[in-house]
Amino acid sequence: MKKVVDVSLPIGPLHPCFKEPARIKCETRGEFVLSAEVELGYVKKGIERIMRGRPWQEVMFLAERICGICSVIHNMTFIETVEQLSDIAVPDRAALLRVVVNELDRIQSHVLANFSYCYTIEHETLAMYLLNLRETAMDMLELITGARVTCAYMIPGGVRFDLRPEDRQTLERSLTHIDTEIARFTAMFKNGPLIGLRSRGIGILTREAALEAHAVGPTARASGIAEDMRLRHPTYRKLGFEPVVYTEGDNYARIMVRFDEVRQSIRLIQTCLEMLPEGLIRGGGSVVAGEATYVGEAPRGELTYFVKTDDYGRIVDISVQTPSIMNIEACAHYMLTGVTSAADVTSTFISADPCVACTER
Amino acid sequence: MGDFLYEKDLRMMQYNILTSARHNGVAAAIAGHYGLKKQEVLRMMMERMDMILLENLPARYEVWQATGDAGDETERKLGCELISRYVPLADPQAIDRICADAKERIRKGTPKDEALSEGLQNIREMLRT
Repeated sequence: MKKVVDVSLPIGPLHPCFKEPARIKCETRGEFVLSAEVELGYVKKGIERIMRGRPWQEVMFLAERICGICSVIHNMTFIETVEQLSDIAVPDRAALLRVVVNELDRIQSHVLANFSYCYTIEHETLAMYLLNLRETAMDMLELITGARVTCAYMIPGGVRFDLRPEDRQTLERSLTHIDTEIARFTAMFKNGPLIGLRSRGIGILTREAALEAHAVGPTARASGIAEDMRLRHPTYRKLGFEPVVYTEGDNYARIMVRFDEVRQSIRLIQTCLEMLPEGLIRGGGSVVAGEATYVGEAPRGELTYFVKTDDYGRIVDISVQTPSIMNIEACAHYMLTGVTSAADVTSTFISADPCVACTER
Repeated sequence: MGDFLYEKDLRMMQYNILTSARHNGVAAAIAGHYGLKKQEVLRMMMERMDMILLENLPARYEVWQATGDAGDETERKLGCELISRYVPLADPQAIDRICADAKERIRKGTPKDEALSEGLQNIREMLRT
């Protein structure tokens, strides 16, 4: 007779499906997951402590080194926090260029997240297609900012480089290419019967649970929460931004939110290019003493910076709350509970797009 | 043979998480609410929560401040959902019993402040055991 036994199932800290080290400890009955815990602490950087006492000119480079996948939004949120506390205005052209670069970063981050998910559910073909497409977005980031990952593109009062006319044409061609390809890959994901079996109805995060754990970003929007910090951003408001929302709350919905947001980001960049006025890309202003809390929308959700500066522009105190903290917690304590197969633990975890580098900032 | 890295004692890492400004504020607020020492609260958190829950404490505390225990004044003052759901340091059933007891005492005519004070003391004792 088949036996069902209670098992403690440790996954990680090193696992082929994880990009970074984290340890999931599942308590299971047979393969049914009763509860899960996540242990971290393997790659803690202590970057907030490193930042304290340093001038903002150094901290802006440290901020984008919190995460290698969404470095642009760390740069943007830190700079916009500093601008808020110092009352520094940004020229219109620079504000739109910031959105262009930020959305390119979101595209590559979402495509990478969906690559990881497809790879985890063993759909390597679609995974490799997506990883290949990500390179187009990375190339565009490099074209505009001069770097693929740590771009340091945004500075108080503007951006560092303008968009040249020839680069604009290349960008428009690349966006069309990404749009066409992402539509094809979305259809592959939507219509794949095996993908559906591995994704639909698995790892469900209810709206109530998402609210309790303060889940954010695509993870929350896949559970019916229409919350997106871009709705509060003045430049995005001008672009008529509306969040993408699904209500199923399962792995499938989380991946589909990201696919839809990639296409939405393409539209946002195209709108920015149409609206891009001639003019300066840098205004004036200097960083003064003060403190401010500012929230930006990272690819994974709400990113909060609290910054306190002194008269010389040094960072006296800083605190960073990254979206992965909330999303990994929601994943470990709500999505994984009730998963019926141990094989779905890793795919459910990856569907929340966990970033351990952000979490262990 | 050395110990495995993933089996190492992570208490120092847990303590590092809790010493950040936002976490420190949450621990101080909970300690103040229930009349406990902050170090006691930190120890309870480290013993009863996994690391990702520790990391997420400030966000969960903010959610409780905004929406938790919204329906009932007694529950809000005792922080029933705070201590059992949003910052889960106590057994929800035991907290429900203490809360129901405090409401019953108020209904029978005990002054509200006295009943709440006793409720908070009961929660404090329960947290310490």
